[in-house]
Amino acid sequence: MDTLAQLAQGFAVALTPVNLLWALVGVTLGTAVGVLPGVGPALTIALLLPLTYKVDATGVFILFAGIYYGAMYGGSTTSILLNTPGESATIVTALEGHKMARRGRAGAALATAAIGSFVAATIGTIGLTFVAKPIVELALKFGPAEYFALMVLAFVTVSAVLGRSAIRGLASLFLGLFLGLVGMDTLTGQPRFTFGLPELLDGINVIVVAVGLFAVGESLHALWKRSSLTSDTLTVTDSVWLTRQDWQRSWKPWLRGSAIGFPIGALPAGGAEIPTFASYYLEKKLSRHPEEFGHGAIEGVAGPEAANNASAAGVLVPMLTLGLPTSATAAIMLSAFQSYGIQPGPLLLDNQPQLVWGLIASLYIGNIMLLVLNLPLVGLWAKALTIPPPLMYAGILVFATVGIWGASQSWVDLLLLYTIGVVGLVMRLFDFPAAPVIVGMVLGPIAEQEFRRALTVSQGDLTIFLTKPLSATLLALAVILIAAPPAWRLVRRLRAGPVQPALR
Amino acid sequence: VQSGLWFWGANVIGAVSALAALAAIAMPHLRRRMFSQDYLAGLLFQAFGLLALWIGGALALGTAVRMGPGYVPRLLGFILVGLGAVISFQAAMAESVGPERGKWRPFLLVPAAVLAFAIVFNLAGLIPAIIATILVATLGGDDIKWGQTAISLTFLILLCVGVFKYALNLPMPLFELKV
Repeated sequence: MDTLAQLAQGFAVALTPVNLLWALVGVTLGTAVGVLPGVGPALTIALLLPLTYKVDATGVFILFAGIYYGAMYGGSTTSILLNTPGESATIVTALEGHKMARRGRAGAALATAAIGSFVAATIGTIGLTFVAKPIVELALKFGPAEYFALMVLAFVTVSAVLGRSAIRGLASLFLGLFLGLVGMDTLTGQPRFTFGLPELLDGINVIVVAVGLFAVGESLHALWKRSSLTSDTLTVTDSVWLTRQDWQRSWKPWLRGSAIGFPIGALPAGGAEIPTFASYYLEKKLSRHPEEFGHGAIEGVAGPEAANNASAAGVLVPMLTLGLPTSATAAIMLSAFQSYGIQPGPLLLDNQPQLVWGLIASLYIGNIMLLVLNLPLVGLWAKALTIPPPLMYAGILVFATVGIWGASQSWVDLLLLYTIGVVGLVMRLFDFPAAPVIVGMVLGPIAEQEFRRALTVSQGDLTIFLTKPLSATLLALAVILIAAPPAWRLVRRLRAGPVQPALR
Repeated sequence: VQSGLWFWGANVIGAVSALAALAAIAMPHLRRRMFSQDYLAGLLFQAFGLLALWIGGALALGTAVRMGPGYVPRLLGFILVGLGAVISFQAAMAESVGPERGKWRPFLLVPAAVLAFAIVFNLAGLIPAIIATILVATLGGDDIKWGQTAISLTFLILLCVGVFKYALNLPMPLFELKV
């Protein structure tokens, strides 16, 4: 009942007019950026990071969470009407939903996606509510060795999950760890990599890096890419609601999608891609109309969309309880914690109950807002699809520049912003994920601290990380995550034997 | 300042990778591998690592038990060179695709628009600066639609003024001629 009492307090926080307003702004903005192809929640939250200098933490996190959930809703609209999945998690929605729209069932597809998202996100948020406390209690028993091992696991999962290959993710991660070194060395007081600039003595601000990589870098890359939008936007011709039969065919996939999405999203290596595909194949197997799949089956929209939203709630579990980001958006939210001087981790729930429970409560409220906002207004959102990209990206660049300038009024920060933006462009051109850089920058110093603490406890004995069972397990998991995919490929190649070279 | 086997080892790895890429210019059958996205990416990270080793060379190394300020930077530098070398090596062993070709016009005009923002902002304030930016950025589009430009302009002005001037109370003039 402890959890319920705290949740009630959270609602007291979230229901204040100011916070309700933040939630409304968040879900509206989130839906808008979710609808716009090429702009995701990570970019939007990065753009708004300068807010952390002026607005209180609870309000900002309610805003960010609203954007995060809203973008999930908006993304499905784009997938269905435009057949352009905004991210890998909505590929399946684009697959079936766009086919439905082609057959004049766009309204039904949008409705099942929106209602399914509502059901799944609510189930996911309930899961988050009740899972958070036990995990934190477990994590509070962690010593420095276990905590360091957990950080290593986080580094590895973020690198392995978010990129094309683990080694690319690791390269990005180490770049981030390196950026974290800039500034005065905490132990010896020596300046490192400051190029004689006094502005750099305090280190590079992680907000400048996040905005540079995700707003400037992403915009430059989008402008550089040749592929432009196809004007194949479908319009909604039928009513945005479900028929009796649609309800009957949708409600089970919603529940099954949520059941798949939430636990996988909560796992450190989960992500949103696996659960959506898993849900799609499950629905295809269970459906009484398997022949409709590939031609616009409503189950193929309902299930994966639910899985996607439930996993989005799941991602918040490791993020709020352990301080581990498992998606790009979570990584950027983590940098917001740092900007407030709040250390993410197991202590967060005890130190900042107002923030965490207010945030969780606002997720319930935001979900209801999203349902109301999305069903009747979907035609309006579809209009946003027609903004010419150069204008949109110019707007983003201006907003990023003014935000950073307004926050610090420092030319060095502006220079850094664009330098890092160019680095972000180059990383995208060469297919490196950007999120591990942020994770490395934020978690790197914490990991180093825990590492030194653990060695102090063990009096310099490095085996402490392997003799403690929990830390050994976590490290073993990290090794498996890195080593398993290449090993698996090797095994397959060996099994395939002489066939492979002949194919080449 | 720099000494030690490790440093020179890292330099040799970088030099070999770079020379391999240069040598491939003369050998057409190698060109596709060496100028692939992956090979160049590996080279890039080797360069990052070497740069870090070079700049951080003056920092005292210390020992594993008593780390000096240069210990971790050097470790990370070596790891970056190593990872870069692995990426390049993998690329040279396999078929891969070249880097994306892009569009120059929006790529150059939109940052130019931001530059216009900075200049006009200093001369006349926030609102004229936003107008200048959007006008320049419009030229970067494939087909120019002035109606959409007007809508985007209004939206961006409202957003920037609302957020920066009123929500954040930043000291910036909305409209003020300084010439």
